[in-house]
Parts: sequence; C-alpha cells; structure tokens
Amino acid sequence: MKKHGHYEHLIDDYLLGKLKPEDQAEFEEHYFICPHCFAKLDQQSEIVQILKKEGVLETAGGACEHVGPRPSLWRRFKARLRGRR
Amino acid sequence: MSRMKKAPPEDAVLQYRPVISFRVRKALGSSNPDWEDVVNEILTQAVAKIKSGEFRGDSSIGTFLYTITSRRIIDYIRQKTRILKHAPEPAPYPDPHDEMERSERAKQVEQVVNGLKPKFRDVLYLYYYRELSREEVARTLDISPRRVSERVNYALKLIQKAVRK
Repeated sequence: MKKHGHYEHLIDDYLLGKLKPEDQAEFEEHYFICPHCFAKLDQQSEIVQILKKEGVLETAGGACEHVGPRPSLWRRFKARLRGRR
Repeated sequence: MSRMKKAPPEDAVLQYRPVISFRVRKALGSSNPDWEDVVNEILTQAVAKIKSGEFRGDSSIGTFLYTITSRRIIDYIRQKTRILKHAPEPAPYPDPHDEMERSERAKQVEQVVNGLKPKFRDVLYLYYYRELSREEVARTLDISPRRVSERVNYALKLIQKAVRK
C-alpha cells in the first residue's frame, strides 16, 4: 500500500483537476479509507477554493510581471483536454 | 467469533457521511441543490445492502462505499444530462450561516495572502489562480520546481494556521 506522503502530494492536483482519470480514481478510493488524507484534503479544498476566487490573488497577478492576464475558461479547458491526450 | 457487539450498519455507514458528501459535492458542484439528496440516497442504499448481506466484508467498508458513491454519481450525471436538454436548473439558495462562515474564512485567507512577500504571492497566483503546473511556474519565475513546492507549502501552512484559529 502506498504511503500517506504519496497521496498528500496528489491533493493539489486533484483539487485543480490535473490528475489523470486512473490516478484520480485511485486517489478517491484512498481518501474513502484514509481519514488522515481526507482531513487534509477537506481542509486544503476550502483554501484552494478561496484562492481561486476572483479578488483574493488578483492583486498578486497585477503585481506579477512575469505573466499576462488569465486565459479564458475556454482556453484553459482546451489546454486541459490537450494535456489528457 | 468475536464477543464484541458489532455496531449497527447505520452507525458504521454514517461515519462516512463527510467523505461521501465531499466526493458528491466535488463531482456535482457545491452549488448543486441536489447534492444532499444524492448523499442521503447513497447512505440509504449502503445500509440496505449491508442489511441484505450484499456486503460480505471482502473489501473494506470504505471501498464498498466508494464504489456505491461513484456509481450513483455516474447515474445522476447521466440522468441530469438527459433532463438538462429540456429544462434549465433553478438557482440554489445558499445557507446564510454557511455563507457567513465561508466569507469569514475567505477574509482570513485574504489577509494572510496580502501579508505575504511578493515571491510567495506570485507563486500562489501562478499555481492556484492561473493553474500552471509546478514546472511551468518554475520556468516562469526562473526558479527550481522544488523551490516552487517550498513556497507553496510555506504559504499554505501560514494560511492553514490562520484559518484554524
């Protein structure tokens, strides 16, 4: 059985929808049987939702000289599809 | 044979309500007004299967509930895809108490984020808001992926500490 550390590393990718379908299913099955990882996931989920909300990190975006504006939802969706192929 | 009295299936299954709720909300969206009904259906179905002897304990109860939950989510999405072709979904009414708590926590997170040094804020922005991978963030900021992880973890720890208070 894989250790907690392996699954803890997957939390962000799971919350951001970046896991491959097979990894996602494995991770979901794991947190059903692991209260430790579920507690971490639950807590991080709320924080990530807040960070993704418009406004909280927007000022950082304005200050971040390395990047342009956030791509549209459609472009992000297409990029994710490309990544899965 | 164990002499310990076994907990009734309802109690064993109800312990999984938070994790089932999380999975259902993640799949259907937290703003979907049906998520609580779906969770209750899953719990009822699981108890019935245990009582009827369908769950024989070959796998853990967690795995058994995961399977029921995943199947119910797929059924729900299939059902809704058919219905949504004909009628739009009404907007849900958010619980005012939950909304207040959420907004309070959002303020706490915002305060911590605003107090961070720009190098940490930039990483959070690129990683969570722009949804770049750690490698892409590393390339953008000209630092190593390991440094990206360190900055994300540091900022998250501060945020978690503030939210827990």
